[in-house]
Amino acid sequence: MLTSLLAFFEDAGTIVTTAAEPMQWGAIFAFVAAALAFIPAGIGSTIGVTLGGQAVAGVAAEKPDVYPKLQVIQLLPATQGIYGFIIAFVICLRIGVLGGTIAALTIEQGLQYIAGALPIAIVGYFSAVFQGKVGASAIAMVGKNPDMSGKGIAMVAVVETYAIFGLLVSFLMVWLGVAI
Amino acid sequence: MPILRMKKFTLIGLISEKKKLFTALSRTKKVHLINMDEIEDTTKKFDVEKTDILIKKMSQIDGVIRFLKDAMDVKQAYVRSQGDKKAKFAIKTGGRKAEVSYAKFDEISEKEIDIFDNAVYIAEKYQHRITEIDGEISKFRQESESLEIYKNLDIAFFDVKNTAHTASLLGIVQNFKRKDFEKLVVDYPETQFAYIGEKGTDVAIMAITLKETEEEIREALQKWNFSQCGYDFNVTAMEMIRHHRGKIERLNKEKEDILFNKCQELTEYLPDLKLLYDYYSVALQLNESNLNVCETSKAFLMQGWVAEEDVETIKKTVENNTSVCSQEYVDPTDDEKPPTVIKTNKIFQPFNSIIEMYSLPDYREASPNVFVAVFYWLFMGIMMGDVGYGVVMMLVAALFVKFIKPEGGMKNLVLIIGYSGVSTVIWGILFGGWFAISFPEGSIFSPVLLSPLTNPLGMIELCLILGTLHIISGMIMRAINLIRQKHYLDAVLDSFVWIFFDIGLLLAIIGGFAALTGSAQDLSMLTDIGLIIMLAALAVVLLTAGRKNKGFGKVTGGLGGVWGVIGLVSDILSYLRIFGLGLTTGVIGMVFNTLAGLLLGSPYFFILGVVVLLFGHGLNLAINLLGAYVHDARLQHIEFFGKFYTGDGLRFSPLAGNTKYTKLLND
Repeated sequence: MLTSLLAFFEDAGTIVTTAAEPMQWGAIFAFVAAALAFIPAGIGSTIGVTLGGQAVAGVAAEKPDVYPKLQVIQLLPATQGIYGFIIAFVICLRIGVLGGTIAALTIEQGLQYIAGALPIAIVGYFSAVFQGKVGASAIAMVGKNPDMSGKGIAMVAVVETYAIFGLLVSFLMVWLGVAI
Repeated sequence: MPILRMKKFTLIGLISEKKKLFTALSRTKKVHLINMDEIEDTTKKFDVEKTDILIKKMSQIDGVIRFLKDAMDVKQAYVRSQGDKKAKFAIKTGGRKAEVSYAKFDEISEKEIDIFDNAVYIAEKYQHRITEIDGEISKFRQESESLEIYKNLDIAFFDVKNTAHTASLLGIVQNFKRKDFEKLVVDYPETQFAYIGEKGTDVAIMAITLKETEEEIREALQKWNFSQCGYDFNVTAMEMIRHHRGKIERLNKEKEDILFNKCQELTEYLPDLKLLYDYYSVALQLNESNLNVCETSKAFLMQGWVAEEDVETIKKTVENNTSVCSQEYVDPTDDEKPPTVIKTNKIFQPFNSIIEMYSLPDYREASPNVFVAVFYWLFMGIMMGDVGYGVVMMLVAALFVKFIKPEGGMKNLVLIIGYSGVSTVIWGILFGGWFAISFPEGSIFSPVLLSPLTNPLGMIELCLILGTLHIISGMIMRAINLIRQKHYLDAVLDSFVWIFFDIGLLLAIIGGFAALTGSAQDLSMLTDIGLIIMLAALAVVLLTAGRKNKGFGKVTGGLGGVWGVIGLVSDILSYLRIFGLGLTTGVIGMVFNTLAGLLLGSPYFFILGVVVLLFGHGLNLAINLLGAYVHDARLQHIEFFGKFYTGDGLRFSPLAGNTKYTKLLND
């Protein structure tokens, strides 16, 4: 078992050692951009889902039958974290983290990645938190009147629109905007 | 004709035949009663007493059904915890309503006494006994807990008593410290103190003292809220605790016996209990339907709705069940509001649930079901956009329908997923999505139309075009509704003009994107034509949108109409979410492929790689199905319905048609 682990890490080690020169500031900025894309959106989703979960616990305790409908609403703010993750992944993909050789980037290019990460970072965070709040209200509404679940879901989905736009803007910026 | 045409019927018959007729009508499930206003010289007879009795019996049976189900669950959980593999994999099929024929339904009333004597009363007795047992157990537990503090006292409580010259004090003091005890021993040398035990902040102590100093000691102890022990039984605390434990064990055994054995014998009555419940429920609804019917001493008058296609059936039913009854079937007048029933072929049917999730269309409104079905299906396919996922969706839906046999909303959902699987496969081929694997260019898996990742502009163009088409279809629906209401001018100015505008927009989008991507064909002609059409349409809007206002309002109304362009553009941009969700599916799939790729390359981690692949793609599919389902519905409900839908339809509720546990079938 130990030898197999060692073999694996030796393999993995080659990825790092192929980077011939010490890492450039441009690449470091790009790494920061990847982290920045994910962190706020991920935190926002965590908060949003928590708000929904607390509301679900309150309502479902009294009406266990509507639980599946509420669960759907609770899950909706989880997507902003995913969008942040996608942008982080795309940045990693572009700068060659996954290919093994990290591209040589200028500082300007690195900063461009940071700019590209901002839309999903900021809009994603707020959209997730506020979607969680609307979600909690929708959960209370559906708990009182289960027939309104369709409207409740639509109500919550409206908040997500701008997170999707944030994703698209970030995506276009990091995918097409930086010439390597 | 997707919304069924309704006829309003009026029946006048004999009171003596009313019950038979109502029962027969309820079994057709095709009659929706109207709550009539009271007419002069008639009354509405409603049997309150009967309702009370029925409701009481129903809640009794429902309580028993729930109790027995809980007992079954407890037993199953127990069996599962014992590692019985069969039970572990048993699929719960309790959610579905059992199908029962009306012949059997009628027989159940004869079994009523038998069911009550042999199941209901006995189950209630068990239930009562279990409540008692739970009470006793918690009483014993509490007592054992409060005895705990005395468990080191090795004489019986009864033996702690006064002698001729001494007094014994046994009890509990609070916030009593070791040094307090030591101080007591020093301060009162004539008195014997014993430290018995402690629990939390409570300490049990015993003091044996001369009778003369008893009061003094009591007062000294009062500082720590001394409370004298109240027990006087002739055993030690430990013996008593053991005794309680035995009792609790016996009570638990009894409870287990009731839940695991005695209740299981009763579960064979469950189908009968459920049927009897529904029997009462139907009787209750029939009784309540009296509120909708006007009566004199000899005759009744009822009105209701029946679909045009069912009129003959109802006519025959009435003839067969009455000796004399006047029947009349007329078309609804303009101020009446018949209930809405959307009827479509089997393929479109599941998508109706997307409409109903929002609300039913008005009876006179054109039903949007065909547009909803087609566009929902298309959009879902783009959002998933992967051949592999599409195949999985179809397979899972097919297996689910075959083996679990879902019903109602669940069935619709499963069918929607299954049908959308087909669309997902088609778009997967067009986008080159095969489990998100990246193939080298020029392979047979390469995208036929465009690759969303390498050509995001093309993808944006596609979403905008489809969005505009969706909006145009919404405008067409609005035109149909306006024409139906004979508002021809409104149809032209509020709907056709905008359709015209949208067509211009569509041309401009296609031309504009061709210029943007530097396409080989020069499509700037299209852009120009599109812009001219849009401007022409806007000019008409500016001149006519304020036509219903007066004076200056005509100008502001016109400007307001032009302002509608902003709303329209934001609606169309909203369709970019299709790209966003499609991107999510594709990129997350890639992430898991990359992760698994690292593992699969090493012979040591091959199996882990396979697990990552299966789990990752499963997770991706689940997350994105949820997202696609929700956002696709949102596009229908907000962008599309916003153009025309009133959606204040009345649900068709058949006479006495609600059953909770069974589905009643005509033979």
